Amino acid sequence: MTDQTLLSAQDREELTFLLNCYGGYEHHWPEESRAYFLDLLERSEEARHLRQQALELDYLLDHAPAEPACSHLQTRILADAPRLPINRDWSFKGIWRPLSALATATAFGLFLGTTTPAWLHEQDTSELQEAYLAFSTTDFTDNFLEGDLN
Amino acid sequence: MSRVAQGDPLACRNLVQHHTGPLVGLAQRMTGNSQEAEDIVQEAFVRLWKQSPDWTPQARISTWLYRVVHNLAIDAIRRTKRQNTMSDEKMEFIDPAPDQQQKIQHKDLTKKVETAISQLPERQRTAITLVHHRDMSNKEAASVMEISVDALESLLARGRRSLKMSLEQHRHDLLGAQS
Repeated sequence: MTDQTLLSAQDREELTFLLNCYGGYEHHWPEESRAYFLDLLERSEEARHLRQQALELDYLLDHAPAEPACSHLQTRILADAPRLPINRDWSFKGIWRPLSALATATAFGLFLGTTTPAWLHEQDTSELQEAYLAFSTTDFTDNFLEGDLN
Repeated sequence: MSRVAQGDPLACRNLVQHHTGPLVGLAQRMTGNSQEAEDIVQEAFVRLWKQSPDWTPQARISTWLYRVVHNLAIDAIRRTKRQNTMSDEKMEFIDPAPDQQQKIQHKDLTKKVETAISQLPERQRTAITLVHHRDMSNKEAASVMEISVDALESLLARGRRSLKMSLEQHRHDLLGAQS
Protein backbone atom coordinates (compact mmCIF):
# COMPACT_ATOMS: atom_id res chain seq x y z
CA MET A 1 0.00 0.00 0.00
CA THR A 2 1.37 3.42 -0.96
CA ASP A 3 1.67 6.08 1.72
CA GLN A 4 0.28 9.30 0.32
CA THR A 5 1.84 11.59 2.90
CA LEU A 6 -0.27 14.61 2.11
CA LEU A 7 -4.02 14.68 1.88
CA SER A 8 -6.00 16.29 -0.89
CA ALA A 9 -7.56 19.62 0.06
CA GLN A 10 -11.02 18.10 0.22
CA ASP A 11 -9.94 15.10 2.30
CA ARG A 12 -8.03 17.39 4.66
CA GLU A 13 -11.07 19.61 5.11
CA GLU A 14 -13.42 16.70 5.72
CA LEU A 15 -11.08 14.91 8.11
CA THR A 16 -10.41 18.11 10.05
CA PHE A 17 -14.15 18.72 10.37
CA LEU A 18 -14.67 15.15 11.59
CA LEU A 19 -11.87 15.36 14.15
CA ASN A 20 -13.02 18.79 15.35
CA CYS A 21 -16.50 17.44 15.99
CA TYR A 22 -15.96 13.89 17.14
CA GLY A 23 -12.32 13.68 18.17
CA GLY A 24 -9.86 10.93 17.38
CA TYR A 25 -11.69 7.84 18.70
CA GLU A 26 -13.06 6.02 15.68
CA HIS A 27 -16.03 4.60 17.62
CA HIS A 28 -17.29 8.18 18.04
CA TRP A 29 -17.27 8.85 14.32
CA PRO A 30 -20.51 8.69 12.31
CA GLU A 31 -21.03 5.13 11.17
CA GLU A 32 -21.70 6.02 7.56
CA SER A 33 -18.34 7.74 7.02
CA ARG A 34 -16.14 5.70 9.38
CA ALA A 35 -14.81 3.29 6.77
CA TYR A 36 -13.81 6.12 4.46
CA PHE A 37 -11.78 7.92 7.12
CA LEU A 38 -10.17 4.73 8.39
CA ASP A 39 -9.02 4.05 4.86
CA LEU A 40 -7.68 7.59 4.71
CA LEU A 41 -5.73 7.02 7.93
CA GLU A 42 -4.18 3.89 6.52
CA ARG A 43 -3.07 5.69 3.42
CA SER A 44 -1.89 9.04 4.75
CA GLU A 45 0.73 10.07 7.27
CA GLU A 46 -0.80 13.55 7.46
CA ALA A 47 -4.17 12.02 8.36
CA ARG A 48 -2.57 10.02 11.15
CA HIS A 49 -0.84 13.15 12.44
CA LEU A 50 -4.12 15.10 12.49
CA ARG A 51 -5.80 12.27 14.32
CA GLN A 52 -3.00 12.11 16.89
CA GLN A 53 -3.52 15.80 17.68
CA ALA A 54 -7.23 15.23 18.18
CA LEU A 55 -6.56 12.25 20.45
CA GLU A 56 -4.66 14.46 22.91
CA LEU A 57 -7.88 16.22 23.83
CA ASP A 58 -9.71 12.89 23.99
CA TYR A 59 -7.20 11.53 26.49
CA LEU A 60 -7.71 14.60 28.65
CA LEU A 61 -11.48 14.33 28.46
CA ASP A 62 -11.25 10.69 29.55
CA HIS A 63 -10.04 11.94 32.92
CA ALA A 64 -13.42 13.52 33.63
CA PRO A 65 -15.91 10.73 32.99
CA ALA A 66 -18.69 12.37 35.03
CA GLU A 67 -19.82 9.13 36.62
CA PRO A 68 -20.18 9.86 40.31
CA ALA A 69 -20.59 6.91 42.66
CA CYS A 70 -24.12 7.10 44.01
CA SER A 71 -25.15 3.82 45.64
CA HIS A 72 -27.32 5.71 48.14
CA LEU A 73 -29.33 7.10 45.24
CA GLN A 74 -29.71 3.65 43.72
CA THR A 75 -31.29 2.47 46.96
CA ARG A 76 -33.73 5.39 46.90
CA ILE A 77 -34.63 4.76 43.28
CA LEU A 78 -35.15 1.03 43.81
CA ALA A 79 -37.48 1.77 46.73
CA ASP A 80 -39.88 3.31 44.18
CA ALA A 81 -39.52 0.48 41.65
CA PRO A 82 -42.53 -1.67 40.67
CA ARG A 83 -43.05 -4.58 43.06
CA LEU A 84 -43.23 -8.17 41.91
CA PRO A 85 -46.64 -9.64 42.83
CA ILE A 86 -46.42 -12.65 45.19
CA ASN A 87 -45.93 -15.56 42.85
CA ARG A 88 -45.52 -18.96 44.45
CA ASP A 89 -44.22 -21.59 42.14
CA TRP A 90 -47.00 -24.20 42.28
CA SER A 91 -46.35 -27.24 40.17
CA PHE A 92 -50.08 -27.77 39.38
CA LYS A 93 -50.43 -24.20 38.07
CA GLY A 94 -51.16 -25.40 34.52
CA ILE A 95 -53.92 -27.88 35.29
CA TRP A 96 -55.83 -26.43 38.21
CA ARG A 97 -58.46 -24.82 35.99
CA PRO A 98 -59.49 -27.94 34.02
CA LEU A 99 -59.22 -29.99 37.20
CA SER A 100 -61.57 -27.74 39.13
CA ALA A 101 -64.03 -27.72 36.20
CA LEU A 102 -63.99 -31.51 36.17
CA ALA A 103 -64.56 -31.66 39.94
CA THR A 104 -67.50 -29.24 39.70
CA ALA A 105 -69.05 -31.23 36.87
CA THR A 106 -68.63 -34.47 38.86
CA ALA A 107 -70.22 -32.99 41.96
CA PHE A 108 -73.15 -31.66 39.94
CA GLY A 109 -73.58 -35.03 38.26
CA LEU A 110 -73.60 -36.82 41.61
CA PHE A 111 -76.16 -34.37 42.93
CA LEU A 112 -78.44 -34.97 39.97
CA GLY A 113 -77.86 -38.67 40.17
CA THR A 114 -78.86 -38.89 43.81
CA THR A 115 -81.83 -36.52 43.81
CA THR A 116 -83.59 -36.25 40.43
CA PRO A 117 -84.34 -39.94 39.65
CA ALA A 118 -86.46 -40.31 42.81
CA TRP A 119 -89.24 -37.91 41.77
CA LEU A 120 -88.89 -38.85 38.14
CA HIS A 121 -89.45 -42.48 39.08
CA GLU A 122 -92.39 -41.62 41.31
CA GLN A 123 -94.05 -39.63 38.58
CA ASP A 124 -93.52 -42.37 36.01
CA THR A 125 -94.87 -45.01 38.36
CA SER A 126 -97.97 -43.09 39.36
CA GLU A 127 -98.81 -42.28 35.76
CA LEU A 128 -98.45 -45.94 34.79
CA GLN A 129 -100.52 -47.03 37.76
CA GLU A 130 -103.30 -44.60 36.84
CA ALA A 131 -103.24 -45.73 33.25
CA TYR A 132 -103.37 -49.38 34.27
CA LEU A 133 -106.26 -48.75 36.69
CA ALA A 134 -108.22 -46.89 34.04
CA PHE A 135 -107.58 -49.67 31.57
CA SER A 136 -108.56 -52.45 33.93
CA THR A 137 -111.85 -50.86 35.11
CA THR A 138 -113.14 -49.83 31.71
CA ASP A 139 -115.76 -51.89 29.98
CA PHE A 140 -114.72 -52.19 26.37
CA THR A 141 -117.58 -54.40 25.19
CA ASP A 142 -119.58 -51.52 23.73
CA ASN A 143 -116.61 -50.46 21.67
CA PHE A 144 -116.46 -53.64 19.64
CA LEU A 145 -118.83 -54.80 16.92
CA GLU A 146 -120.78 -57.92 17.52
CA GLY A 147 -118.81 -61.01 16.70
CA ASP A 148 -115.39 -59.21 16.92
CA LEU A 149 -114.86 -60.38 20.47
CA ASN A 150 -114.63 -63.91 19.31
CA MET B 1 -38.44 -3.59 29.96
CA SER B 2 -41.28 -6.10 30.20
CA ARG B 3 -39.43 -7.63 33.16
CA VAL B 4 -39.28 -4.23 34.80
CA ALA B 5 -42.99 -3.73 34.21
CA GLN B 6 -43.69 -7.09 35.86
CA GLY B 7 -41.74 -5.91 38.89
CA ASP B 8 -38.76 -8.22 38.44
CA PRO B 9 -36.38 -6.92 41.15
CA LEU B 10 -33.27 -8.16 39.33
CA ALA B 11 -34.19 -6.35 36.10
CA CYS B 12 -34.92 -3.14 38.03
CA ARG B 13 -31.64 -3.38 39.93
CA ASN B 14 -29.62 -3.99 36.76
CA LEU B 15 -31.24 -1.04 35.05
CA VAL B 16 -30.62 1.27 37.99
CA GLN B 17 -27.04 0.11 38.57
CA HIS B 18 -26.16 0.50 34.91
CA HIS B 19 -27.62 3.95 34.33
CA THR B 20 -27.70 5.89 37.59
CA GLY B 21 -24.05 7.03 37.69
CA PRO B 22 -23.86 8.17 34.04
CA LEU B 23 -27.22 9.92 34.29
CA VAL B 24 -26.27 11.73 37.49
CA GLY B 25 -22.99 12.71 35.82
CA LEU B 26 -24.83 14.28 32.91
CA ALA B 27 -27.35 16.08 35.12
CA GLN B 28 -24.58 17.26 37.43
CA ARG B 29 -22.56 18.55 34.51
CA MET B 30 -25.59 20.37 33.14
CA THR B 31 -26.87 21.89 36.38
CA GLY B 32 -23.63 22.18 38.33
CA ASN B 33 -25.44 20.91 41.40
CA SER B 34 -25.04 17.38 42.68
CA GLN B 35 -28.15 17.35 44.89
CA GLU B 36 -30.29 18.68 42.09
CA ALA B 37 -28.75 16.12 39.71
CA GLU B 38 -29.70 13.26 42.03
CA ASP B 39 -33.25 14.56 42.35
CA ILE B 40 -33.51 14.80 38.57
CA VAL B 41 -32.35 11.22 38.05
CA GLN B 42 -34.67 9.93 40.75
CA GLU B 43 -37.57 11.75 39.09
CA ALA B 44 -36.58 10.25 35.70
CA PHE B 45 -36.73 6.74 37.16
CA VAL B 46 -40.07 7.43 38.84
CA ARG B 47 -41.40 8.39 35.41
CA LEU B 48 -39.90 5.23 33.94
CA TRP B 49 -41.54 3.02 36.61
CA LYS B 50 -44.89 4.69 35.89
CA GLN B 51 -44.45 4.28 32.15
CA SER B 52 -43.18 0.70 32.29
CA PRO B 53 -46.55 -1.13 32.00
CA ASP B 54 -47.39 0.81 28.81
CA TRP B 55 -43.87 0.88 27.41
CA THR B 56 -43.68 0.71 23.61
CA PRO B 57 -40.21 -0.04 22.27
CA GLN B 58 -39.93 3.03 20.02
CA ALA B 59 -36.71 4.14 21.65
CA ARG B 60 -34.01 2.47 23.71
CA ILE B 61 -34.53 2.81 27.45
CA SER B 62 -31.17 4.55 27.78
CA THR B 63 -32.07 7.14 25.12
CA TRP B 64 -35.43 7.72 26.80
CA LEU B 65 -33.82 8.13 30.22
CA TYR B 66 -31.18 10.52 28.90
CA ARG B 67 -33.82 12.61 27.15
CA VAL B 68 -35.91 12.87 30.32
CA VAL B 69 -32.87 13.74 32.43
CA HIS B 70 -31.76 16.28 29.82
CA ASN B 71 -35.18 17.95 29.78
CA LEU B 72 -35.49 17.95 33.56
CA ALA B 73 -32.02 19.44 33.86
CA ILE B 74 -32.91 22.21 31.40
CA ASP B 75 -36.03 22.93 33.46
CA ALA B 76 -33.89 23.09 36.59
CA ILE B 77 -31.40 25.43 34.93
CA ARG B 78 -34.18 27.71 33.76
CA ARG B 79 -35.78 27.61 37.18
CA THR B 80 -32.73 28.43 39.17
CA LYS B 81 -30.71 30.34 36.53
CA ARG B 82 -27.73 28.63 37.95
CA GLN B 83 -24.60 27.74 36.03
CA ASN B 84 -22.04 27.31 38.73
CA THR B 85 -18.96 25.25 38.45
CA MET B 86 -19.19 22.01 40.31
CA SER B 87 -17.80 21.97 43.79
CA ASP B 88 -15.18 19.31 44.20
CA GLU B 89 -16.37 17.91 47.48
CA LYS B 90 -19.72 17.02 45.94
CA MET B 91 -18.34 15.04 43.04
CA GLU B 92 -17.13 11.62 44.07
CA PHE B 93 -15.54 9.92 41.12
CA ILE B 94 -14.65 6.28 40.75
CA ASP B 95 -10.88 6.33 40.91
CA PRO B 96 -9.08 3.33 39.49
CA ALA B 97 -5.57 4.59 40.30
CA PRO B 98 -3.70 1.88 42.21
CA ASP B 99 -1.45 3.91 44.50
CA GLN B 100 -1.77 7.13 46.43
CA GLN B 101 0.45 9.31 44.24
CA GLN B 102 -1.32 8.23 41.09
CA LYS B 103 -4.62 8.90 42.82
CA ILE B 104 -3.60 12.44 43.63
CA GLN B 105 -2.38 13.04 40.07
CA HIS B 106 -5.54 11.56 38.68
CA LYS B 107 -7.71 13.72 40.93
CA ASP B 108 -5.77 16.80 39.96
CA LEU B 109 -6.19 16.02 36.29
CA THR B 110 -9.87 15.29 36.73
CA LYS B 111 -10.36 18.57 38.56
CA LYS B 112 -8.67 20.62 35.84
CA VAL B 113 -10.55 18.96 33.00
CA GLU B 114 -13.84 19.11 34.90
CA THR B 115 -13.32 22.81 35.56
CA ALA B 116 -12.59 23.45 31.88
CA ILE B 117 -15.74 21.55 30.87
CA SER B 118 -17.85 23.39 33.44
CA GLN B 119 -16.84 26.71 31.87
CA LEU B 120 -18.39 25.75 28.53
CA PRO B 121 -21.94 26.84 27.70
CA GLU B 122 -24.45 24.27 28.87
CA ARG B 123 -25.37 22.89 25.43
CA GLN B 124 -21.75 22.37 24.46
CA ARG B 125 -21.12 20.58 27.78
CA THR B 126 -24.08 18.34 27.18
CA ALA B 127 -23.11 17.51 23.58
CA ILE B 128 -19.56 16.59 24.59
CA THR B 129 -20.76 14.53 27.55
CA LEU B 130 -23.21 12.55 25.43
CA VAL B 131 -20.88 11.87 22.52
CA HIS B 132 -17.52 11.59 24.22
CA HIS B 133 -18.34 10.29 27.70
CA ARG B 134 -21.51 8.33 26.98
CA ASP B 135 -20.35 7.03 23.58
CA MET B 136 -23.63 7.96 21.93
CA SER B 137 -23.89 8.06 18.16
CA ASN B 138 -24.46 11.50 16.65
CA LYS B 139 -28.07 10.61 15.87
CA GLU B 140 -28.80 9.36 19.38
CA ALA B 141 -27.20 12.40 21.03
CA ALA B 142 -29.09 14.73 18.69
CA SER B 143 -32.29 12.86 19.55
CA VAL B 144 -31.66 13.25 23.30
CA MET B 145 -31.03 16.98 22.88
CA GLU B 146 -33.88 17.30 20.38
CA ILE B 147 -31.70 19.06 17.82
CA SER B 148 -30.43 18.21 14.32
CA VAL B 149 -27.17 16.35 13.72
CA ASP B 150 -25.77 19.51 12.10
CA ALA B 151 -26.57 21.52 15.22
CA LEU B 152 -24.97 18.83 17.37
CA GLU B 153 -21.81 18.89 15.27
CA SER B 154 -21.64 22.65 15.60
CA LEU B 155 -21.90 22.38 19.40
CA LEU B 156 -19.27 19.64 19.51
CA ALA B 157 -16.81 21.55 17.32
CA ARG B 158 -17.18 24.78 19.30
CA GLY B 159 -16.96 22.94 22.60
CA ARG B 160 -13.85 20.99 21.68
CA ARG B 161 -12.16 24.12 20.32
CA SER B 162 -12.81 25.98 23.59
CA LEU B 163 -11.59 23.03 25.65
CA LYS B 164 -8.45 22.74 23.60
CA MET B 165 -7.70 26.40 24.23
CA SER B 166 -8.46 26.34 27.94
CA LEU B 167 -6.49 23.12 28.53
CA GLU B 168 -3.58 24.14 26.32
CA GLN B 169 -1.65 25.65 29.22
CA HIS B 170 -2.01 22.38 31.16
CA ARG B 171 -1.49 20.17 28.14
CA HIS B 172 2.08 19.09 28.83
CA ASP B 173 1.45 18.64 32.56
CA LEU B 174 -1.73 16.74 31.94
CA LEU B 175 -0.44 14.47 29.21
CA GLY B 176 2.78 13.93 31.14
CA ALA B 177 0.83 13.00 34.24
CA GLN B 178 -1.20 10.36 32.52
CA SER B 179 1.76 8.55 30.97
